Parts: sequence; structure tokens; C-alpha cells
Amino acid sequence: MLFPFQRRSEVPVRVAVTGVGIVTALGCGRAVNAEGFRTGRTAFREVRGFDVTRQRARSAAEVDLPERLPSTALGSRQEGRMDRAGRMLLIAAEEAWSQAAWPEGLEGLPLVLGTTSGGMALGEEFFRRSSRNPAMLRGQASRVVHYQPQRQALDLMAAFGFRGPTTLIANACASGSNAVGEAFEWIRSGHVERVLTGGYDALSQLVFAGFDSLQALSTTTCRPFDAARDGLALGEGAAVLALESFGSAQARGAAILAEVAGYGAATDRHHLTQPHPAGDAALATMAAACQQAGIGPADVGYLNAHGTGTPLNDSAEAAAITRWAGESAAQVPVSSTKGCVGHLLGAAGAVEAALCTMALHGGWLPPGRGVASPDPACRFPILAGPQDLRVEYMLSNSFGFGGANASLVLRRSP
Amino acid sequence: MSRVFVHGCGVVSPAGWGVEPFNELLAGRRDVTASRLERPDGRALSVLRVPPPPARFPWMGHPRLRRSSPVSHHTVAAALEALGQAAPQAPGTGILLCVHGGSVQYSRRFFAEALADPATASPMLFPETVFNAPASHLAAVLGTEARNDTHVGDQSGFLAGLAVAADWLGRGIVGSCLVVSAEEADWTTAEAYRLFSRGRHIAEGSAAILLRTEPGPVELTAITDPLPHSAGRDPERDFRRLQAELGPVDHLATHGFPGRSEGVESRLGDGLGAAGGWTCVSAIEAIRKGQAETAAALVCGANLQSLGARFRRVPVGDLPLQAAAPR
Repeated sequence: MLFPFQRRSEVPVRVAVTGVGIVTALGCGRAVNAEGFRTGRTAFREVRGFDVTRQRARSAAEVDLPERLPSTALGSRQEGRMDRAGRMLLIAAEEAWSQAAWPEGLEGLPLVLGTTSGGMALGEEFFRRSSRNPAMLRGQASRVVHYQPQRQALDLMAAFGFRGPTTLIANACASGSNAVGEAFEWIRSGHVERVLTGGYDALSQLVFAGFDSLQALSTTTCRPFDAARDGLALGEGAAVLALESFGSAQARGAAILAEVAGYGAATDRHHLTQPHPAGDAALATMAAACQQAGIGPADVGYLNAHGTGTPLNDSAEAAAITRWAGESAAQVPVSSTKGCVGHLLGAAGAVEAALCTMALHGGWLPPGRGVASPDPACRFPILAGPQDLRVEYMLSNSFGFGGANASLVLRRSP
Repeated sequence: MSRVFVHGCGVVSPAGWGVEPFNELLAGRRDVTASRLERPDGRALSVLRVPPPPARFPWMGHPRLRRSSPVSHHTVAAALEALGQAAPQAPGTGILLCVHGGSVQYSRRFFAEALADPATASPMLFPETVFNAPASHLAAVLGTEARNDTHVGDQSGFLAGLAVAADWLGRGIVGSCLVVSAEEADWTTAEAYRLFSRGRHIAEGSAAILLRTEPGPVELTAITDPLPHSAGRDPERDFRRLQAELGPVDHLATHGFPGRSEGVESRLGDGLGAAGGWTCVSAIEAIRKGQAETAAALVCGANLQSLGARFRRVPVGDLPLQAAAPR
């Protein structure tokens, strides 16, 4: 039964990350992404996937996908029907799945994913063909099926042989963090031992045109928290995390890469697209995540900001961080990795949780890029260059349209 | 373990705005007629649309709702009916919105503009295209900053949403929770649907259920394990499994099982994401009207999974006086 819940523990369960898979414009896989985030490499280029000649902005962080997908239980026909977003998700999932090396017999494994648009490019193609040549139905049914996030979830289940509860969270740009957070809560509350979770989104013409229409895209360089920032840059990618209870991980001798220690979520009802200028909901989520982790601002060794690079987001987030950190603000290094790989929308929170896991495990902090002169609202140090440092806790923020706010606390493995 | 109770329901459907016209339609005392949605080439597609509201609701003047699309109106209307409030404020109320297509009208309009010339595509439309826009508007109307998730899925999504809401309630994350499913019709959705189900209509509308841990007249007693369609969709097999897991009930409401006379889609059309909510409300209403002590809602979704939920009447003696009073 999904409800009533079978609670396996009366006390909160500690939640381990035992597998990470990641795909960004820096490359496919942990090694290339760890190197890229650690050194602050950027990965933007003029968009090749669709026509941007009539847009204000022309560049984004596009992923170069490998020709072959990793070997799973999917057949070549199934693989051939997958869209770009589903392929990135599968690559990330396979990497996480292999690293976690979960035992057989996980038929009921839950899957929690975040996305804003699933396989939108196929939906766009359905619309183009339907508008221009409605009599030509060839391939249209397949486009309808495969553009929906449900299909990408089912493909993942078929690829790895599980069929548990599926949750697809679409809380705009906080979706990935919400997915990891909900998965964390299921394990923490003792409902389940393991959850496969993550986020994914591919660039699409509709979304690119949408952000451009709002004049939210940078026409120069994405520079989160810089005083002269002029907008965000879009990216694409996926990250998948294998989460399980400490008890389960320790019993099978699995390597614990990091611990998910806290999650906070709240709604900013100020405006559909603009954050409350004082960052009230952001403050609430950071405080809630830290409270659940049992820590205060002084314990946080690094904060991965949402930091899109838009004037409104960064000033509101800076205000929230300053209010949250209080006297500790000057001691909390902050950066936004969106200056390197762009804003990955529904994948952003999961990718940033994955990179925090890698950074905690590897003992480094990911720098931001492009900050020549920090916004005066930033009362905290902006991490502008590579730094090797072992810290105990990292905090990751994700905020989205609709006022979806989420924060995650990750802890170095014991 | 916390128990979870239903404290209110709301519906917007092709029968009209409210649970009562929905009940009348299911009882055969009301009919709906299909209307035609025009494609750009002039051809028409037949769908079951929500009729205009009998009067302009006060909440329609809320600043957030002036430019919003029908799916947001459907979301807010059903939620407010479930809350039983005309001038709403419900701080601390969690929101879980379940959609299949979401804001397809604005998405289609915006993308058509972007294809024509992205330099002039309207910035007014794009923000409304995100899946969670209706849930965000509802939070603004209710004045709540509590947990607010939007889930994408098929017709079964509403039942999965009930389980998530029960979890939030049980852990004290929210004091009460609205589970809402909502859709709006568009020619793009109708055309896509026609590729798979010729001769059947898609419908638009919404459903909402207000859940609390305090005793109420109807209790949510079980939600089955999901039966994913990863190895193909098999409604007959899923129906047997769901029934076996939930046990016998006095009343059954279903969606997506061909040939079932109690299927809500036979009267309402396929409400996509809203259909799961309609099925649950139909089961709850059978209990509320005294037709059943126990009822189940079984849903076979189009492209994700099958799920079932079970409800039971709470004896009046178990209720506080206020909850025992008729709605």
C-alpha cells in the first residue's frame, strides 16, 4: 500500500548518497564535471539546436551527447525513440546506478524526478507538423508519447528493471531540489530504504524564446552576483542521485559519498516571476533546511546559491542570505555555478546537489565566474576562484517561477 | 500513524461549476454537449468544455488571475469550493496540484508567436505556461506560503497526490492540504488525444479535495501501490489487482477501464489530469449522500500507472460536532 505508510523507523533516518550521475555542458560524467566545476570552467557557445537569429541572446550551455547510450535493459528501438532530455537523464541515471551498485530485487524502488518541460522539443515538433501539415500523421503519435515526462520515467524503470511509485515534480526551476528533497524525506521518515531521484531538462526553442521575451537572458556574459549583471544564461543537463538509508548503505558496505541532512521548501507568493525583494521565502527555506539538519549558518562551509544572474533574483537572494546568516555572513563562501553551465531549470537543483556531493567528497569548493565587482547587497564572500577546502556542510538554494523555493543541506560523509 | 480525513470537495466540469452539477450529471439528471475547437486550418475538433460560470466569481478579480488561463481558474474554483469559502484566506494550507497537460492554451499561443517571430513573442504569456502557475496563483489567493508542489502525470496522478498530501499531514509539514487536479482544453491536446482514442472526447475542468488529520465525515483509508505501465498498459489486469488490494466496497467509481458502466468518463469525457480527481470525488459523494459506507476510486491512467483509493464513512459518534454537521 502507498497509504497507510509502512514506517520502518520511529526516529528520523539518516540519508546517504551512494550514487551520483551528472550530465552538463561541461561533459558527461562525474570526472569531467568535477574537474570543470572545481576549476570554474565555462561551457557556453552559440546555440546549435534551433534558430536563435531573431533572439536578443544567442548563446547557451549545450550538451554534446555521445553517439551511443550506456548499456541498459532498453532495446535499440526504445533508445531510438528517446528525446534529448530522456537521453541525458538515462546517462546520468546509469552512472548513479552503477556507482550505487544496489542489490537485486528493487522492484518497488520509488523514482522522484524534477523537470520543467520533459521532452519539450518533441512537443514542439508535434505542434509544427500539426500546424503546417495536419494530414501528415506519421510519427505524431510517437512524439506525443515521448515528449511527456511520464515516458522518460517509464524508460528509466524499463532500463533498470524497477516499477515503484513515480513522482514527477514540476515546480519550475526548483523542481530538481524539490525532487531530491522529497526523496530525502521519504527515507528520513522511514517510509522506504532507497529512492532514485534527480532532475533533467533539455534546451528547447519555446523555453529559450520565453526567457528571451522576458529579457531575462544575458546578452553579454552571465555573471551571478556581479553588480553589472544583465541576466541569466540557459543550460541543459541532468543529475541523478541514489539515496538510501545509512543503515542500508552501511549494512552492504557501500561507500557513502555524502549525507542529505536537511530540506526546506516554501512558497513566495509575491509575484509569478519575481521574488520578494527581501527574499522572505528564500530565508524560510534556508532556515528550515538548516533546522532539520540541526545546524546554524556558522556551520555552513559553502553555499551554492540559486544565483541566476538576473538583477532581481540575485539581489533578493543576497538579501535573504544576509538575513539568514546574520553575524556569520562574512564567513560563508557563496558562489553560483550557473556562470559556468547556465541555468538548467528543472535539472538545476539536482545538478547542484550532485556537485555539492562531489565537492564535499573531494574537498573542494566550486567557484563562480564573471564577478568583477560584487553587488553591494552581498555581505558575504563571493567565491571567485578555485579553492580546495574540506567543509562539513554545504547549503544549496533553488528558486523558481511561481514562487517555488527550496533549499538542501548536504553533509560530508562520516 | 496519522489518519487522514476529507473535509471538502470541489469540482469544475463540463456539467458546470460545482459539485452539485457534477452529481446531477453522474446521476443522469443532466447532459453535456460537445463543443468544437477550431484548428488554424479551420477544421474543428470536438471536446467537452466547461460552460461559462453562472456569474463572475469575486476571486476572478484577484490581480494574479486577471491574465491567467482557464486551468488556473479551474484550479482556484475547485479549491475554494473544497475549502467552503467565498472570500478565502487559508494560510498554512499546503497545495498539491496534479496535471497532465497543464497550461496548454498559453503554451500553444506563445510557441506559435515564437515560431512566427521570437522577437515579438509576448512576455505576458510565457510565465503562465509553467506547470506550477495555477498552484502559484492559488497560493496567492489563499495567502499561504506553505508547501506547494505541482506533479505531472496521467489520470492517476490525483491519487498519488493524495498519498503525498497524507504524508505531509502525517509529518506535520502542513496543517491542511488541498489536492487539486486541473486541465484546460486546447486543439493541440484534442488532436493528440485523437491519435489514440478516436470517438472519445477529452474534457476540461478540475477537482479538489481538502484533507486534514482532524476527524471529518469521510476518511481516506487506503491508496494502493501503483501499477506502472512500464511493461505495457493492461486495464483488465490492473482492475483485478487494485480491487483485490482494496477489498470489497459498497460503491465503485472508475476511470480508464473500458466497458465499466461506472466509469466517470462515460458521462464526462476524459478529463486527463482532472479525471482522477473526478473519480475520487464521485466515490466520496456516494458516501456523503448516504449511498455507501465504503467507496473506492480506481483509475487506469493513460501513460504512467494505475492506482486505487479507498474511502469510508466516519460514524457520527466519532466526529466533533462541527464536522458532523452537513456541508
